[in-house]
Amino acid sequence: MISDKDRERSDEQLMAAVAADHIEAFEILVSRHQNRVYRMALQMLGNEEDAWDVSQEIFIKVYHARASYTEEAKFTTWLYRIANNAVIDRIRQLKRLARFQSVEDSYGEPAAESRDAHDELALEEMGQSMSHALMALSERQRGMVIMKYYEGFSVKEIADVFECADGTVKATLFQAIRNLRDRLFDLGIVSAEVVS
Amino acid sequence: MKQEPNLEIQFDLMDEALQSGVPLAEVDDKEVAEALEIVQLLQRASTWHEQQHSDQPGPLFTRHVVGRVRKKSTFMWWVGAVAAALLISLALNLKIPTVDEVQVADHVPTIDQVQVADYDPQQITFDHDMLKQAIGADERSEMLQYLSGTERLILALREPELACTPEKVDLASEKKLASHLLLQQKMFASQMDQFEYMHVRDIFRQLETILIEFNTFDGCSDQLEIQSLSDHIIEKKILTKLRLMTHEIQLS
Repeated sequence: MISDKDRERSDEQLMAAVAADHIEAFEILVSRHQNRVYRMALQMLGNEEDAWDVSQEIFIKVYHARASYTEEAKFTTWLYRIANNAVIDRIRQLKRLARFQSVEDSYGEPAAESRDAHDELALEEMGQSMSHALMALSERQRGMVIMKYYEGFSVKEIADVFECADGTVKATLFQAIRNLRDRLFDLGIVSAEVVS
Repeated sequence: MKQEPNLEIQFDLMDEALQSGVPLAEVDDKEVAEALEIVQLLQRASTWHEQQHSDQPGPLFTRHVVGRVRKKSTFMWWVGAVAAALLISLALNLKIPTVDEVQVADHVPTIDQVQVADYDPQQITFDHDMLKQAIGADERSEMLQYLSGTERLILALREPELACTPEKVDLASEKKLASHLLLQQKMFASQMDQFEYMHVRDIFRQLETILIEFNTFDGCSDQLEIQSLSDHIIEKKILTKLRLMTHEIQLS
């Protein structure tokens, strides 16, 4: 039975309880983080079914790795490291199964009439184009961009997840933004000159 | 890895402009302004994305995950209990009856009958250390068999022998081996949470992923797919890691 007191416990305290085989603590952690993990997986994979499956795998991996968790480590960093690896594994698997193209295509090309002017773009068309452009990035760049601008992670948190220096994250993000710009330019979403 | 320092500085400039809400037209550096424009679009796209996918996993998702974990835990408990019972019976050197003997016995003895049986419990020596050693040796032997099978599979992947068509390779027997290895791996998967195996857990996980992928191949698989998996194995130096691990387990 899950008490209100249990629900108030921090992620790290709950994870320590999971490590001691308290399944109720695991249940609270899953319900607390499932939306964010699913959203990230969905952005990375571009397909709801795969995102659902991989999100489940992520939490099952968390459970199986419970003994290796140390309470000093920030839970979300640890969780997203597992999540990121699982999503990248899935992307590679999908690529090998030659289904990736259809995932990319599922976003579809933006409609021709939407390419006229940036100011007139509807939010939906722009969102679709951005998802399309994100798919063209490398897995590492895409992961960092989604964590930073969709999930609101700090540079330091991303560096912890990817186990690299803050400077590497900043450089990768800037390079990714450049690549996004090139892609969005090709799609007619942005023009050569910055529109203020 | 050494990064282009300019990118880091440009990122800081862009982030600063974003935080302070500087209009795009007032950003002097053209590249920073271009990046800022993209980040603003990303923020809008994020809002759109959230609206699009408002039906996020709910209690059903939680129940499903927790259910899968519970199911597996119970299964592992039973596997553990059965394995322990077998090992104990072996350690005690009890005679396991044959099928014929079981059929001949027309009833299970009652507690009274067992108590009447003339044996002295003092005569049975039960060495806990020996049992622990036997379990450890059994696990290591299971792992070594698994590693040797996986090595064979990886080597077969590099030079497939049989061709179905000029572009396709016959992997039926390797697929069978992969599925057998996956089952074998489940026998000691729970041991991976133990401290002594912590340093090799990642490589075991990588091997599992390879076996799962192998299992998804068709009996007659495309050479390009096989090449792709083989390249991944070479890139990650999986065979070297596997051999090192085998050596380490043999010495342990």
